[in-house]
Amino acid sequence: MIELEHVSLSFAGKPAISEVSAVFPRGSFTCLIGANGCGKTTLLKLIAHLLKPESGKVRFDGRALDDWPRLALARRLAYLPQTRPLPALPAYMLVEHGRFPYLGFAKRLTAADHAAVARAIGATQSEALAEAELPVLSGGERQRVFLAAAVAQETDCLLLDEPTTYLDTHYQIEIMELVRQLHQSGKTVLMVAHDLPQAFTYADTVCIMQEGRLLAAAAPQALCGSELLREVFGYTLRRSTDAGALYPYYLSR
Amino acid sequence: MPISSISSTRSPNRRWLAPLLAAVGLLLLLASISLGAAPLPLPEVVRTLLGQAPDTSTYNIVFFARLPRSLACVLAGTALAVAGLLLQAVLNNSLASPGIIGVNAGAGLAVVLSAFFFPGLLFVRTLAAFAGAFGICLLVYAVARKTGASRITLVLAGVAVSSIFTAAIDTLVTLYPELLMDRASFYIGGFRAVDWDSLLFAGPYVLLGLAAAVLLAGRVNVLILGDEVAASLGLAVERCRFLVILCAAALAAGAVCIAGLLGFVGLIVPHIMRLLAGNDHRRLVWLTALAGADITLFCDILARLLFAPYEIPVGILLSFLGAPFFLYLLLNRQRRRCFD
Repeated sequence: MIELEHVSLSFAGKPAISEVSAVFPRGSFTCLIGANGCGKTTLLKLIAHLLKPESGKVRFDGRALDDWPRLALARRLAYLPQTRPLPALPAYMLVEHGRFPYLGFAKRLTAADHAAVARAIGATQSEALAEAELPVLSGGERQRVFLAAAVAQETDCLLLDEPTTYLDTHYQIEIMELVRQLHQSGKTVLMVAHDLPQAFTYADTVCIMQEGRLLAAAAPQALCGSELLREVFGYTLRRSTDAGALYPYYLSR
Repeated sequence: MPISSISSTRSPNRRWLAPLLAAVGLLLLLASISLGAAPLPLPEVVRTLLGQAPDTSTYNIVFFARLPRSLACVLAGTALAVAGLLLQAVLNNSLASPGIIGVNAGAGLAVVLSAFFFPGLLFVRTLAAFAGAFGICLLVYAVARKTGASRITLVLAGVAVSSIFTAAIDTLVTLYPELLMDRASFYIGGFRAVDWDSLLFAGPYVLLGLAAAVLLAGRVNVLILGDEVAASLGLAVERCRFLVILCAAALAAGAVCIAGLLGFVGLIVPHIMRLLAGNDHRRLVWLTALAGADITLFCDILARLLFAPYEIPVGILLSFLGAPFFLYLLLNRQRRRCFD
């Protein structure tokens, strides 16, 4: 369980996150939505302990993040940033790096680690990509392999920053179906999303942010068609009656 | 593809590379002791090394001229190659190397300064070189981080830093020529002035740096995934980077104290090894160490033989090898994308 208690952070005097309080229960699937620059990514980084709040507390399983040993936290919480360097590595080696928090001083993989890597590659159906170097993979394949690394990390919580941005639609669906599978296997998922119909389709809770504030956190059904969406985004969402629709929600004026 | 086939292809390719490089290194080491102004037959060299010298002159040549020089090649080559590997990883810049980003020049200035203020104190000299190298590493890293400088900018900044320090060295050496016993050897990089003393003082820096590099290699692997990914995998990113820089500085300082401003080993060796063996730093540390020693030994033997009885500083040969390679890296856009 992740708890935020009056969390605030500013960059160069400009508030980025203001007084955010929220609870993300174990096993939930939450999407953070809001306009660009509203603080979604910053909030995710605060939860990933990559940033520290100026005031307020972030807790994971009842313990403040500052009190977690680095490696112990990394065994519970995996984070996938939106942009990252792309070293020339074969994909399986990236997945092996997902085992880093479990390795001893010499940082050598044991048989158990190799088994976890194989499981992660299997669970993400990335067997065919394992030998390829990261720079030659397509965007969707890369995302799949990075997810495999996060799976190999065997955390119970997955923090994703816009995992489907820049991807073709069918890759977006593939990645989101994979995230849904991971959620169903018991992981808590917290995801920054930019595509509203997609977020509403997969999440069980949607958090709307604006200018560093958390305006609402509710089930997609409750927010669907709301005036709040219209205020924040300029349009709202409606349920589609088309049985063949990719997402059962569509954007509407 | 079934999982089993992945595990079977998982073992890193070219397992023979390390034994081959080690064997070549051993041969080159023997050749380096055997060849020179007065060639010694190999059997005699081996017997002398085993403590059964046929005569005193052979003993003297082997133990006071050839052996320290050959070991100096091994130490300096290893140190520069591994320092280059570490700097490339930590700066996320494939063009970085101790020579190019100005670390060697910084250590060199420190060496000349300490020769000026504390003549004859070799202990102070190596320590000063270490401080100089470390200072430059931190400076370059701070510049790269603060400005988000591109690969090329970092290289240009290195050129500027190197020029300033070389100018300072020039000034001191012009006014006090006695500061450097062998000027050409120091500037271009060479092993003519090597003796047991300089090895004794610089060796520990190289060996400790190498040991630290081996211990850090698994963490460096994660560091190259970027700060955010590395931190979320539980790596203490800043501490790790600090230790890696410290380690690179110790290695570069040791090399400068032994061989002067030897360039390009730290650039080309990590590149070639990465190309041959992949991007696993646990392997790369050993491979670059061996290959760095090999290439330096080889070039030093050539430097002694090419224009015998005249000897050219080994740095000249390394420049002929390394500078075209550097140009190739600058111009090759495809590889650039892979490493950025």
